[in-house]
Amino acid sequence: MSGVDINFDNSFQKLPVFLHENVAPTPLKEPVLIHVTELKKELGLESLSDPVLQKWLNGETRLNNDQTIATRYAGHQFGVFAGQLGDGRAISLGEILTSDGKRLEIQTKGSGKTSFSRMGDGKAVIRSSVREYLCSEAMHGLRIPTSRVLAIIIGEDKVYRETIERSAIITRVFPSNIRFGHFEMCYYFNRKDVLNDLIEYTRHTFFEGVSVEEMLAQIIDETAMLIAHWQTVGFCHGVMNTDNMSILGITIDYGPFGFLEDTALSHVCNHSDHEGRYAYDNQPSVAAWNPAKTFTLF
Amino acid sequence: MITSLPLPHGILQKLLLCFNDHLPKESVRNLLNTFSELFHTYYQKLCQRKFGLTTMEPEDYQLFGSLLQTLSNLAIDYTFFFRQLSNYKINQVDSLSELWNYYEKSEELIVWLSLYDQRLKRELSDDMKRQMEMKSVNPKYVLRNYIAQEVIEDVERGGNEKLKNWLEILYSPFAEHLEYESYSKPTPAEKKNYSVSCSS
Repeated sequence: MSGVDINFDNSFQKLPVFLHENVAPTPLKEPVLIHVTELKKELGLESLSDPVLQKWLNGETRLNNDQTIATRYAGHQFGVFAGQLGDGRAISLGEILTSDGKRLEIQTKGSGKTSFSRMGDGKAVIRSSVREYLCSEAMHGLRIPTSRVLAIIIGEDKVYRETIERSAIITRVFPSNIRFGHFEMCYYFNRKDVLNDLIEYTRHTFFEGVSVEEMLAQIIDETAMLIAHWQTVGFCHGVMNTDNMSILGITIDYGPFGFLEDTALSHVCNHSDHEGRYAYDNQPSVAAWNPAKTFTLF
Repeated sequence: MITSLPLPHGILQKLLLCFNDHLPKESVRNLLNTFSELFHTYYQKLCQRKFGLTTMEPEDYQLFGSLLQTLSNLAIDYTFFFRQLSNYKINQVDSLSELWNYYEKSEELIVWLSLYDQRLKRELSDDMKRQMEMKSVNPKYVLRNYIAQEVIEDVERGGNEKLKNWLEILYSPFAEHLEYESYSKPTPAEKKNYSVSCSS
């Protein structure tokens, strides 16, 4: 698009293609941009009018030097290795370096199928999109590390879930989409070369080049801090699988989350979690290696 | 109080496994062992502020834990309780008048409040100062499921007013927002027990 120059610095896509693919977003039909947050300014996107922003985030147009990639990761879901997963409906449009030097990645969720969609249709419904939109910003308001959101678009496309619902696309913003699962993808599929590249990339891009050991120490520290915040404010994430955990110690992947209302220490917010694996009072022990030692509060 | 934990399945352990070739086993074990202490240190600090304490006593963990157990036993609204506790005045159980509008003065809670009262006195806590501190860390508003549901229904009808209004509140959840007062109360019975599936 002419006349618009955004300061993209797309670093993840320079990693081996094992970790990502180019994919064309599927735009929503009859899209309506219903909200844009203050992040538009922080990202230096003020030069885009809302109609232009809408077209870009809906996948109808491209901007100079942007990208449209989905990434490949694996993960343990409810304790079981689930094999290859990946961004099944999220597409990264690029990384921006802000005026104060922060790296922020812009990713749309609900942008259609990718190679990693498995049985999914690549769509997101209004219900889950609004929940993620509100909760990301709520966590920010509570001063808890989190992915943020830039905008929400709703469309007329019908989506089949438990009932027929309408679709939406939200735009997520975070320093990086890297999850525990990206490392597991390399490890379990025996790509040591890519694993080395990913570790070096992560260390230099997000941890100021500290040693591998120091980087891991920081990840553990930030994860401990994050979960301490969750416990204090009564937040239940609901799906603490390794593919839903950021290596940057931020809350990501708002799905069946909930805040404690009537206090119940064993509260399970995700009704698919029959064992209560990710119950409120289990969250600290889910993170750690030795559950017996982690929550000896009482 | 946690009797049956799931098998060890720590997700950090799963992450560190990937670094087998990059770190000796011993280092991995040491790293994993730091989590527990780090978590407790952060949690204790956050709780200390949440309870309005400026000093730390070894028994505080028990004071925090027994309250959580009591809130759970009595099914008291978590966010509402702590916001109301921010109004507590030393020696005045009735300073929690709004809490008593919603919940009975059960013995279990009264016993805990007397322990809390003693704890505050030991550090010569100042009511006014503590109330201000506590209100800056105990949110008045959180995203209750029924609130999200109201916004969702508005958006499904093509509106964005509720979305905008709620974002404003949630950006400053520690402020009073008096016109939204009713949303800071315990969730009304007919709007409880939403649980949400992964289907999204």
